[in-house]
Amino acid sequence: MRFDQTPMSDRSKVLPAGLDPESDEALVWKAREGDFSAFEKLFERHRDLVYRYAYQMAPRRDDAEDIVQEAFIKAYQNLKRYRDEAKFTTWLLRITANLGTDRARMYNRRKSLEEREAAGSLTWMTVGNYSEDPIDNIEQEERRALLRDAIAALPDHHKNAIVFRDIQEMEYDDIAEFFGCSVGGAKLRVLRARRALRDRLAPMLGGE
Amino acid sequence: MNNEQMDALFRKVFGDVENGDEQLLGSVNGGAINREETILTNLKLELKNLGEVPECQLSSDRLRDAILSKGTMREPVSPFANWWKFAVPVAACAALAVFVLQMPRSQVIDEPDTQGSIATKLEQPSATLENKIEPNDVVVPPVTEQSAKVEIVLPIDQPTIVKKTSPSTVKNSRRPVTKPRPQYASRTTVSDQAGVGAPSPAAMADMVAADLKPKSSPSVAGIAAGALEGFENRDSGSTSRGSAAKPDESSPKVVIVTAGTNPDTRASNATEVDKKNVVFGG
Repeated sequence: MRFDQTPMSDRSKVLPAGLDPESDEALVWKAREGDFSAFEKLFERHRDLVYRYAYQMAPRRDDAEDIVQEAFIKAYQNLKRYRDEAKFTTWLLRITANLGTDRARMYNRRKSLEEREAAGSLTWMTVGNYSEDPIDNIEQEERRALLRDAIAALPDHHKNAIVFRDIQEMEYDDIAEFFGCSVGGAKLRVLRARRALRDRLAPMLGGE
Repeated sequence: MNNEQMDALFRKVFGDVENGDEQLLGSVNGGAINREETILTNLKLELKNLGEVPECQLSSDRLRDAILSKGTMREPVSPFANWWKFAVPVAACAALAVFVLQMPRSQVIDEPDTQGSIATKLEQPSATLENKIEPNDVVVPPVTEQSAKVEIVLPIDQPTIVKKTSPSTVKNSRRPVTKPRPQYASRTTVSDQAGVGAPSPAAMADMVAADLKPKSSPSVAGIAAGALEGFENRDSGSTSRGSAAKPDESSPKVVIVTAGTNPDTRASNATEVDKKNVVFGG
């Protein structure tokens, strides 16, 4: 079984009028017609977005990469079900959210002290923004772990709101499209999610 | 600080300031708002730090291999996609079902009395088993103009009246041990009437003639002829042949019990004979 790597220019089917050849919609259209190189472009373009979101669901690089891979496989297999009403990234993030929820449950179930330490050391080596003082780094890592646990304990809609707006810094328009609500509704969801998270983290943040 | 002021502070710290937030926050005590603002600022920074993730090492080659190993694009299969494959068998089954359903009705329509015959035929299966149905039990609705249209009227409200045969009339092929054996004519029965197994009149005449031939005497011959005449007229007498075949009820019977048992009944073997044929004694 091989993918058809023939460029679309050699094909008889013509791209619908009004579509930018490099837009997501055009690439999706080409991938639907069997052009895997178009899907590879989509993957390269949105891999980091999906990965950063997946990493918040399962804070281990291996798990996050597995989620990303599964998400793109599902997207490729269901390209014909994708409707152009929503953005491709929104559709992709919805697939990732479904996969990440299941993976996060598995991750929280199997997480033990050793695994947490291993994950911390891995993050230590791969993530920057650490000071030269090891004690500061340890304290920062502890706070980070507490924050991750607090976010993971939130309901899914609150967790997604925090991740999209405050971690990935997405625009409210995209968040609203993901939730299927208005921009005002998305702002309200984000505000409620922040308040819920603040209540959980008040002792750690120096509150009452 | 109330909820609205708290929301305004959240919006201010996270950069989503709306109109009127400054007025809401202006009425709050400065110490309380500063402390809460510090908390939220720390929260914002911590959340922003979470956005720094290790680099993704997933390559497009790995994705391609994964897609190839799991299969390429799935074609959405509609449940009615291959309807034409089942069209011919379904049509054939439907035609057969219609034919089978129409067949008994067409046979009944050929008969002159439509409704009565249908009602009778519909009730016949219950009557043919072990029951008999009387003519009054058959519900025959009055024939109207609409009877030209074949309508099947079933007497649902009226229960079918049937006569069941008594179970006592069913003959049991086995005779109980305690019941006496029926008495029939046997070769051991001696009767002065002419019985079954007697020689024919012609043979009897020959035998008598042969016996009387060596010492023939007119008196004996006359007696034999009279006996033969009486034997030939036996049916015209008071006793019929059928009654002669019956066993003599008045003759006493004797049951002779012999050694051994009957394997079927596990009872001792016994034979019932006439008393006159038994010689009592040692």
